Amino acid sequence: MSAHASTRAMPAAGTRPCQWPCAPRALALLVALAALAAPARADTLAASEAPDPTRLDVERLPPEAIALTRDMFASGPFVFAELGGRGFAGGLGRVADPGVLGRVGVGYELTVWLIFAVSAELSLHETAAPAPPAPASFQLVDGVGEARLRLPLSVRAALWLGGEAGLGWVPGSLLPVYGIEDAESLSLIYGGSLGFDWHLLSKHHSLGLRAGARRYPGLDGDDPTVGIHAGATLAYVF
Amino acid sequence: MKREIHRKAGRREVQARFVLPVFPTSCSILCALLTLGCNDERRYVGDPQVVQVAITGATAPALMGDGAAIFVVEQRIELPIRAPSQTALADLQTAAAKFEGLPFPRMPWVARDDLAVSVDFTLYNLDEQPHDLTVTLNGFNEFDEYVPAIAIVDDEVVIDFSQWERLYRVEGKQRLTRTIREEELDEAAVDLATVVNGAPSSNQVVYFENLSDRDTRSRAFIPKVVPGLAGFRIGVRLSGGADEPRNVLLEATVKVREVEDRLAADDDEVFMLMPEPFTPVAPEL
Repeated sequence: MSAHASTRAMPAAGTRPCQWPCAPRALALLVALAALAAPARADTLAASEAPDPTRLDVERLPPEAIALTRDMFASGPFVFAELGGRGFAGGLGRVADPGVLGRVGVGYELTVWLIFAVSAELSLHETAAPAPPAPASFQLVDGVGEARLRLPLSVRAALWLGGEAGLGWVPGSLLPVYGIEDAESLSLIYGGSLGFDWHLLSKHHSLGLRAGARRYPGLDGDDPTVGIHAGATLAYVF
Repeated sequence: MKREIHRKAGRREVQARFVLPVFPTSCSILCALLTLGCNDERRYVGDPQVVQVAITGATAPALMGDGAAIFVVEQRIELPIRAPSQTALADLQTAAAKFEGLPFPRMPWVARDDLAVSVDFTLYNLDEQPHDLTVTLNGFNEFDEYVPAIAIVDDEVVIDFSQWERLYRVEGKQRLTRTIREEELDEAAVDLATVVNGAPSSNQVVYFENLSDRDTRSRAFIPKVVPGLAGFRIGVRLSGGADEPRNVLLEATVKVREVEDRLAADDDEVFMLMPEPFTPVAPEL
């Protein structure tokens, strides 16, 4: 312990002990160097502050936005999913409440104005008619093919009008109790929809709204049945 | 490319990565719902599917006394049971030998838990005055049919309990809707097997408060094998003056949940049933 303490107190062998205080010596050295460098630094500053209208102006402006064009977005095959609701007018509307509607499908944008798609739909409803039977739920399953005529309103927005036809079916024997005898059988359905598409600022994704009506001859009771649907769509274009 | 669009457009990139999983998720949900929908095991049976029975001014009384009368109307509903093959029938007869003392010649084709049946009904009083109406239901299986009677004993009218019955007061021009639940009809099936198995008091067994699994008097006579109901008679009973207005309607629907594949499809042969009528027995006093 005593040997270690003496090593720290004494300078190492072969080095000269510092005879001036170190801080004043370093300060004097810095002042001398600054005096030598001062003329050159002043010259450099004067050169950099010379007017440079192009560079300074450009730095203060935002980058110039380019115009969006339709070809920046993907087009061609697409898939979509929809969530919405469906109600009925006429025959089935007298015994069934509106219900939630889900739809998934695939399609192809043949041109900007012509689109083909096929989709499968499922809507869930509950009966609302005097008992018996007690109110119960049923599902309406549709498979439809459609052709859409699209009218671009802008690069990102478009309206479309579509005609659709397919097959519909209500599994189970609930609706025949209400006199809708053919509900259990596959039957032809047809109708149309009006839609609005809004492309996100993404190459592949778009949102949409759709509303339309469809005839269900297989679900006619005493009167013809028309289904009225509306929903919001998410689409992914490959 | 997407980043390039946003960069060139001078805007921040829109985070739309959540959109892609939406499609497979939606597909999965839709497929699950489709599976559920296509696998609907409920079936409303009957021809017509809404059964109607009515008591009107033209209805003949079942029993008539001094200015009073009892009116009973019933409708028989037979479930469309799919006919078993000859091999299956032979197997059922062979299997019955394993159970001694069964009150049936063979094992039932429709066992107790094969079909779950429930009935929704609505009772209408079309008159201005209120009526006390009894809705009755008596079941039958492949072998026996419960047939309660109305008798006069010592100048008193004695009406046997039905397997399921409830008394309702229906005000004028009103209606009420009720459901006979699956477990209530299951109890009727057990009661029917119990009474034909030698229970001394049929009325005690079928009385609605005496549940088979709790009533020791009934439990001793429950056979080891209980046939399921293959149908029933549903009806309405009205007691009142012979000259009073009586316009009462009962509408019912029958829902069957098919646990085992026993209901006949459109192209299946229907099992022809010929159950023996069973009249309630009472203990000797």
